[in-house]
Amino acid sequence: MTFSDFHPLVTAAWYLSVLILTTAAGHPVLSAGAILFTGLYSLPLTGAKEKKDDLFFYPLLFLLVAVTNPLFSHKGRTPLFFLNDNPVTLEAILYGASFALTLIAVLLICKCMTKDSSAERFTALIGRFLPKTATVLSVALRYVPLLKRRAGEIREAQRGIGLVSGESLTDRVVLTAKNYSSLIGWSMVSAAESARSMRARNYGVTKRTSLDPFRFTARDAGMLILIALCLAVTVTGGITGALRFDFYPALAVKTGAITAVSLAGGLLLAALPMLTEGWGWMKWRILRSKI
Amino acid sequence: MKKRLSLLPLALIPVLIVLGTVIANGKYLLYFGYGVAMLALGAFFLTFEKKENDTLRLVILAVTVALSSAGRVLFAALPAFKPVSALTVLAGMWFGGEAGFLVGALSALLSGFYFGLGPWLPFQMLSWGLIGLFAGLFRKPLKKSLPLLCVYGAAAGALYSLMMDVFMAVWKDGGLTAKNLLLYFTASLPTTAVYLVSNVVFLLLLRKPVGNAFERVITKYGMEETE
Amino acid sequence: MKKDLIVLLALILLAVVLISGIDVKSVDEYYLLHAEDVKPGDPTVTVRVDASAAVKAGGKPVEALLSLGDLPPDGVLLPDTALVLREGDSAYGLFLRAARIHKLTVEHEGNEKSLSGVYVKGINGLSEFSCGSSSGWIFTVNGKAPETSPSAYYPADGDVIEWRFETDLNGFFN
Repeated sequence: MTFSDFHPLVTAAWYLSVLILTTAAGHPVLSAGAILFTGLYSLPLTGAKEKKDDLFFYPLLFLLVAVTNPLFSHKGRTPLFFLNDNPVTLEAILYGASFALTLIAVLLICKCMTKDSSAERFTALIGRFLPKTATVLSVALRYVPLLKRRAGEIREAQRGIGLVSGESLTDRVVLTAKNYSSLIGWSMVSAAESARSMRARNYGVTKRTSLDPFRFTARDAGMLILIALCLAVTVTGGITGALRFDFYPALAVKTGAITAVSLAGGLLLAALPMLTEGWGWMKWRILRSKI
Repeated sequence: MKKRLSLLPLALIPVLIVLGTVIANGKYLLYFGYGVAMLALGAFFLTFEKKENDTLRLVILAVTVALSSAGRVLFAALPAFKPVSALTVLAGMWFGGEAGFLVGALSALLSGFYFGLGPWLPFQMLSWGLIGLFAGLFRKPLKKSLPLLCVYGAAAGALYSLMMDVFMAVWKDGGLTAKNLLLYFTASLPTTAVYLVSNVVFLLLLRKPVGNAFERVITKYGMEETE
Repeated sequence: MKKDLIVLLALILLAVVLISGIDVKSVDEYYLLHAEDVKPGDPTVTVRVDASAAVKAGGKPVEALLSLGDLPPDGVLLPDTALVLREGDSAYGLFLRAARIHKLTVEHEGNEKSLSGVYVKGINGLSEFSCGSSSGWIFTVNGKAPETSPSAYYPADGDVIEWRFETDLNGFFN
């Protein structure tokens, strides 16, 4: 099974808790772990081109953030050299690196969130307490591919009557904008017409039953409990200061049993999707070997 | 009059935001920001649910959201060139402030599914939502004067950029200082410039045709104009 | 949006470089200034750096600096030291000279040419707010805090310039 087989509530809970935990803790070990585990989890979800782009983008971002921090912050007791008579300190560089890790972790998690979410999942999630909004969203979602197709048709029709776009950028922009406005006009009327027929058929007057493709099973409950447990362990440790990672004026890292346990909780939380995938893969291998 | 009052809490949000920036500083500013954004969005959507909204309205708004997201896809080749703001403003002008907020916020969400979601999403939704909301509040003068509309479009672009810069500054530096904000604002100037231009261009190109299309829907199909 | 982030950061980097210019000194170069010979009859100024209030207040940052030797146990980073007062020397200029001679690292904001002048945020790793949000460095001349920034104050022969770490700045200014 994959992580996205879980009920949207579970996946949303995971994404939210990991995001908040990583940001709030700012602990480089936690952030690095999040990057590793979500990175591994995202491997089957991304295409080759995206992987190549990311391999270029993330290290670059890391360098940029790590380098700009010492330019702004001159705190720290270990000057490495002086820039315009202000110390560029080891601590500032380390803090920049740690912050960059947290930043990249957040971006990676959001990227996975984009891949794992769809308007259907989102709608199912909010459908219970924001039904009208959910309707608007799902109708909009269904319209987008239709609109893309229509835009293509408009372009084809124009090409048919000889209206080819000019070479200059302005010409092309203006033509695309004109097509866009035709698209809007056409879609407005057609939408109003279908809405009218929907109203004629009494759509939405009676209490609507939504076709909820997601059922909340025992497996979902189990994962939710697991998430809550990991979160509780890490947060408790964090509250007691076990996750302190100070950079200024000198590096001061809290270590010890409580720290290790809290970190373990957080790392386990971050690894859950990856472990789910691994679990599913293993089960499949076992089943297959029995054939 | 009663309808206008219900929008007052929504208009207070930017005030709250500024207040929060001044009062709450340091590490907690980011959480405060997220809290405000989520509360504002939540307040709006809950209000939206409570009110009477017939099928036609929902479908029309949905199509508008789809159109602005599709528009973003259509112009994806040009980076900061998006018709989203323009369409949100026009929707607000014709269908009311509430509709404007809805179109703005949901366009941000929907196009997020295509372009990628990020931690900036609540603020993006809020910015575009407010752009639509205020367009609805100022609809009469905006409809009357084209130059004013262009000014509003430019201002909206600037405000959106400012909101994003504030978010970036707070996220990175954990607090808001004038120096940091100025730095981010200056560095994002080229993108801001393109936003401004794209808003004005799209408003100029789309105002007549889209205005007419919206008008037709209102008069022919009886779509209610609410505040 | 992600590509925007990179471009934004790169632009900021560029802006900072262009605006402030680059002057790089190694640690040794910074500390290289020699103690100066004060000849009898020279106009002099006494410079002192006192962080005893921080040592008394304690706290994690202060403990760390004490244990690493960045702060002496009595908190006096620089006892009364005489410097030759040269033409055009501002209080900050003299202070920086004394710091560099005695191997203290000064963390500051702004420069002599900017409108608000120089503001000293930290000395030898003891930054402002290290003892709470109301703590920081103040600069006094002959015991009183001048209205201008240290880079715009030009002392006279015999003045005593002090940088002192206060733990209750709100109380100090009221």
